[in-house]
Parts: sequence; structure tokens; C-alpha cells
Amino acid sequence: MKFSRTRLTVAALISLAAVALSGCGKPASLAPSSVEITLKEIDAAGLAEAIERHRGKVVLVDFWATWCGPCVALFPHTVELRNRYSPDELAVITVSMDKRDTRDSVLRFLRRHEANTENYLNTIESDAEAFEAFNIPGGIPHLLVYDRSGKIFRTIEGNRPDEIDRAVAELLEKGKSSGVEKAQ
Amino acid sequence: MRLAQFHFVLALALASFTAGIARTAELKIGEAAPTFSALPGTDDKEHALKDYETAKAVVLVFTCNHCPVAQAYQDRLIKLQKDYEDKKVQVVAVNVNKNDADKLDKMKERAKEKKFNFPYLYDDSQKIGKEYGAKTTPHIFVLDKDRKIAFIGPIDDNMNEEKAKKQYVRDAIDAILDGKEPPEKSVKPFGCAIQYEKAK
Repeated sequence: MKFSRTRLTVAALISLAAVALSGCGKPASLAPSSVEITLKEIDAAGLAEAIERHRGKVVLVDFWATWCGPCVALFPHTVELRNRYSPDELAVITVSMDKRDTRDSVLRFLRRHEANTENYLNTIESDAEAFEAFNIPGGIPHLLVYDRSGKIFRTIEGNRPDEIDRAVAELLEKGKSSGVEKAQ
Repeated sequence: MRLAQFHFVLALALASFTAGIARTAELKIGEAAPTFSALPGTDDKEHALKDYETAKAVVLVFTCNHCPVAQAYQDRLIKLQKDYEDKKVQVVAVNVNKNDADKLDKMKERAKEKKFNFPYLYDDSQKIGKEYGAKTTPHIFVLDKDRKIAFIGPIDDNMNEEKAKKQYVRDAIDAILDGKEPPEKSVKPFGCAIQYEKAK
């Protein structure tokens, strides 16, 4: 029994419609459809430079590790923040405190989470030295929110996404309120 | 009469207010160690700091079941207790985490499975954690014979045992047993941050 041309045409039209409609209803997001995941090695001096390069923007730095449960739970929120705001307004940096020789598993984690954030991996072998060098006083999760002039505006300890959202929104609003940027 | 009552109520209100916003302490080296009592242990007994008053040093370890870093240090704690047993040093482990994986019944399983040779206590109120300013699991406070804080920090400098070079806690114990001060007194701890609940 051959398929009639009419039936084929109808089937083709329905498929086309399905494909076209599937594009609707997605939340507005800045997430690119194909995400390039990067992971660079870094020490404390390198991190300071990385933050400095974003002077003029609000900067979120998320210190985390694959061995830290609350960090893993918080990670999707950090990625979502990256996609909620324009990279022109907000820089989102992640610093993994995993061991350098576990780089592959860190990268796999980042890929799984489509982490289009600016990702770094600590290179200091000694954990005590690393936490001291990066000035992490109370374990991780440990997050820093920098204002546009490169000063730390807020420190967040633990898995507290609401606090992070508040701090970021507060700083981003400051830039918009008057519409007039005073010269520094 | 009325004024006195008012003052009493005011004082009470003030006390509860400040208790409600109690932050974690920042204990200093040399300060008297906060005491604790009636903390349940995995041995089904209640424990107090003065239970160990004959110990020449107490190694108070804030730890838990679930954190991989705390787990990585379990064997090292057992070895530490074993090595310093006859020098009358007492390791005391305390968990102030409120996750299901860290509840007392799970703690009992872990203590049994690993054959902990030290008490493993549970503080549901998290009070002892707040009083010491315990930040991570693990986080160690070494108390000297006068129960003054002699060292605060991690056990050593690397969660991978083979790569650990600086034996902070062992060096601290050796020093205070010798009547000296630890070479390194305060080191930033590393591990899973302890999540403290806001007081109700």
C-alpha cells in the first residue's frame, strides 16, 4: 500500500509545524545554544588579575569543589546567574578547589552543568596553602561579590542563593538608578 | 513594684534577643576553652569536657559523616588517638551538622564501621560549634592541660594523606606536652563549611 502524496504532504507539514512550535515557550535566556566550556589553571595572583580585567562590571566569584555537597547544589544557580545577566554587566568566575590532577573530572562536571562561566582550577597542591592564598576563612561554599570599582561588596558563606541574588541585584541596580554615571 | 517588673521583662527580652542573633565566636589562642556537658555520644552515654580532665591535652575535632574531607581524615584521627594514647592525649570528635546523613543514628553506624577509638558526640543545638567558632568539617581545636586554646586549624596541610607535609596538630600536641607553644598556632581550616541555623 503506497502512501498517498496528500498524506506525505500532511505529515511533512505537521513535522515542520512541530519543529517550529518547539522553539516557542523557552524562557528568555542569554544561554548560547552551543556552550564552550573552558577550565584554566590559576593561583591567587592570577585570580586577582582575572577579577581586575572585569573592572567596571559587577563580579561574582564562586569558590567550590566537586567534593563539597552544598557547592554542587549551588552550582546550577551560579550558571543561571551567568545566563540571567549580560556579560557586559556581570562577570561570573568559578574557582574549583579540587586537586589539579583531577582536572578531567572537574571539566566533566562543568560540561554536565553547561558552565559557560569563567572557570578556573586552583594549582596550589597543599589545601592549607590554597585556602590561605585565596583567603577562604571558613571553608566552601564561599562567594565574593565585587562592585564595579573592584571592591568586595559582600561575602556569602554556604549555600545561600537568595543572598547572592540580593547582592548582585543591589549592585546592578546602583548602576541604573540615576542613569548618570559619575566619573570615578 | 511595677518598675522592677518592667526592668526584669526588659532584661529578659534583651537577653533572648541577643541569644537569638548569636553569631559564631572567634576564639583566640590562649583563651579558655568553652566547656560542654550532656552531649550524647555514639556510645549512648552523655559526655562533658570535664570527663577528660586527666588528659594532658584534648584534641577537639569538629567533624561529620557526610563531608568527603571529614571522611578523608577519619583514619588519621584514629591513628592520632592511637599514637598519643599513652601520652594521655584525648581526641574528642563532635558533629554539629543537621543533615540526615549526619544524625546520631548514622554517626553510630560510622563509629562502629570505622572502629573509632575516641568519643563521637552530637550537638543538635549546634551551640558548641558556635561557641568555638567551628567553621568547617574538619576543624580542630587543641586544648592544653589548663584547657586553654593552643591551636586552631586543620590536622595537616593536605586532604590527601600521602601528600600531607605539615603535621599541624601533631606538632602542636608535641609542643604543648613539652610545655612549649605550638610552632604554628592558627591555620585556616579547609573542608565543607558548617551551616549554622539561625536560632529560633
